[in-house]
Amino acid sequence: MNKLNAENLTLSINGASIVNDISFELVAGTMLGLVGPNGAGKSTLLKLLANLTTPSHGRCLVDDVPVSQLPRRQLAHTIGYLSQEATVNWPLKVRRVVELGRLPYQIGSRKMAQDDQAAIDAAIAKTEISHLLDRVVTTLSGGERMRVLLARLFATNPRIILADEPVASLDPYHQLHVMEILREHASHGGIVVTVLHDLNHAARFCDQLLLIDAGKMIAIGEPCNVLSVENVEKVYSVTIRCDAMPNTFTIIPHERIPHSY
Amino acid sequence: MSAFHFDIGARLLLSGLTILLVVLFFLDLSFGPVDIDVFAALKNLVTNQSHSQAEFILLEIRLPRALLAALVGAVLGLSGAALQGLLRNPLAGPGLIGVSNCAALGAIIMLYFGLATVHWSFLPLGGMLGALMSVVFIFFLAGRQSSMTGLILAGIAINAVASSATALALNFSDNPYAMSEMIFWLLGSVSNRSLSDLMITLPFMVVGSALILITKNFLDVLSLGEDTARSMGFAMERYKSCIIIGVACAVGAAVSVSGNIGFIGLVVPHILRPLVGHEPGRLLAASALGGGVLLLAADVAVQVLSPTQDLKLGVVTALVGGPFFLALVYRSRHDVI
Repeated sequence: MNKLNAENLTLSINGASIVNDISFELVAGTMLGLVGPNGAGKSTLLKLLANLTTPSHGRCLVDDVPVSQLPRRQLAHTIGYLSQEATVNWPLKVRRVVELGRLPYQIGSRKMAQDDQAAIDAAIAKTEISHLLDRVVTTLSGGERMRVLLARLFATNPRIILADEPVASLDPYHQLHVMEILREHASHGGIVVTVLHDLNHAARFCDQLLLIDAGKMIAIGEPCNVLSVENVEKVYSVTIRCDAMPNTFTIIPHERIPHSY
Repeated sequence: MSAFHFDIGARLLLSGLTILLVVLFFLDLSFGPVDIDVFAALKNLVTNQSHSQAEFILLEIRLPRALLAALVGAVLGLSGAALQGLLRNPLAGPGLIGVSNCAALGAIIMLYFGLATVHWSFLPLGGMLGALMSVVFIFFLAGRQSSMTGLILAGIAINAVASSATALALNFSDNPYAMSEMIFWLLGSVSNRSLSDLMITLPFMVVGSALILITKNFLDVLSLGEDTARSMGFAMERYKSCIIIGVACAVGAAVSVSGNIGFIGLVVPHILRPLVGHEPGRLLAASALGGGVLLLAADVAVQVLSPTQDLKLGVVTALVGGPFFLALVYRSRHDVI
């Protein structure tokens, strides 16, 4: 059994609601894309799921246990969070950055054990960064750095991955690479929730999409239903062209719909 | 230019610094106006044989001085490394959050009211009380959940208040003797301190350092940002409090016995960072040893340069540290960090 529930998640700050009454249930094997315009509350929703922000109402549950009641360590073993600001503050060696992923398992200053090394090796293989290990992380390209940070996340072995715009600033090659890695995690029985701006990636890689606007859930479900012409035009204020293809479809934003202030 | 790494291995670096520390410690013991046989006197002290002049000089003058130089340097280096790691900024130092100045103010108040002459322990106690006040102010101004910017701003405010109050004490000091005593104390020195001075401040330095050292893993994880650190199970507020209270205890105790000794906390982590692969966690222990080494070296230099007049240690560290730091900044101005 492996599931992630959001129950009436709400966050209001000074009376303004950032996230408004959002509920859903995800089972193992699901990749959920959070889509919506800038400022819709996608990142905040992700932080509420990760227990980085405390909701005003509602709660988030992992296997029916509220995340706020899980011990910190256990939560860190279960949920991996990939922050939007993919920065590393010191010029650390790539190998060390990946090793940081094992610190949630470390008590005191115990040396790396065999299972730590195995997890690190697996994470390095999964993200294909073995050739970067001796490089300094601050000198890497955006795509390489994102893979290194993903390797750090996989080294912790979380079942649930929450990723905030993991492909926003990457070139097409690395976009596909990162999306494939996340997709694979879900397909192997994990759960992935990721904020995405590219609706085509969202439609192609995610099992489910959650469309959010001004903190409210507009739609949740299969990509082809959520990204209906009506929904997209209403939420994003753009006209779109759709090309249906076997198994998938592409969305091309066409023109802005002038705001009616 | 990318950041340079001279990672020479944890064990080699730490043992090298330890050897250097021991050598400089004995070198510091052997300097002084009177020539004594340090090893013979030490042996006599341990075996409790005849206590002649040499043993007296060693026990009352040189041991406190060398021990304090090593300890104060270690505490300053460690605190600097911890604050630079916490704020993820290589320009942070122990003075940044206002602890040094508040500790100095506490001690100055004791000197101003003449309480320091009532009992020797009032001076260090006043310093530590001042350091404690700075922590209260920090948490009052910035709060437990403050941002890093909030913390720095609170530090600036506290520093301003403490230094103006110190200036006020100097301004209203009614006799020139008290005033010069305060100024000399402010300049920073480890000479003319007793073992009792050391013993009263030692527990605070040890507890403070321990509080800082337990944040080792947290500082490493914090390299990836606050949200990531928290998502990895590290309670941001708890560790931040650990570092601030630890720095206040350790630096407060150090300043309260030695006065203000600048630049050690800033320069030492900066020099050692490339040698530990820029890892903020490993930098802690290295900076503690490095701080001890540097301050002992500075104290030896002070005694070589002015065997008779008492050149103040704090003046030397500032005079050497300032330009040295300028050179470091100049050289690494195009680095990523």
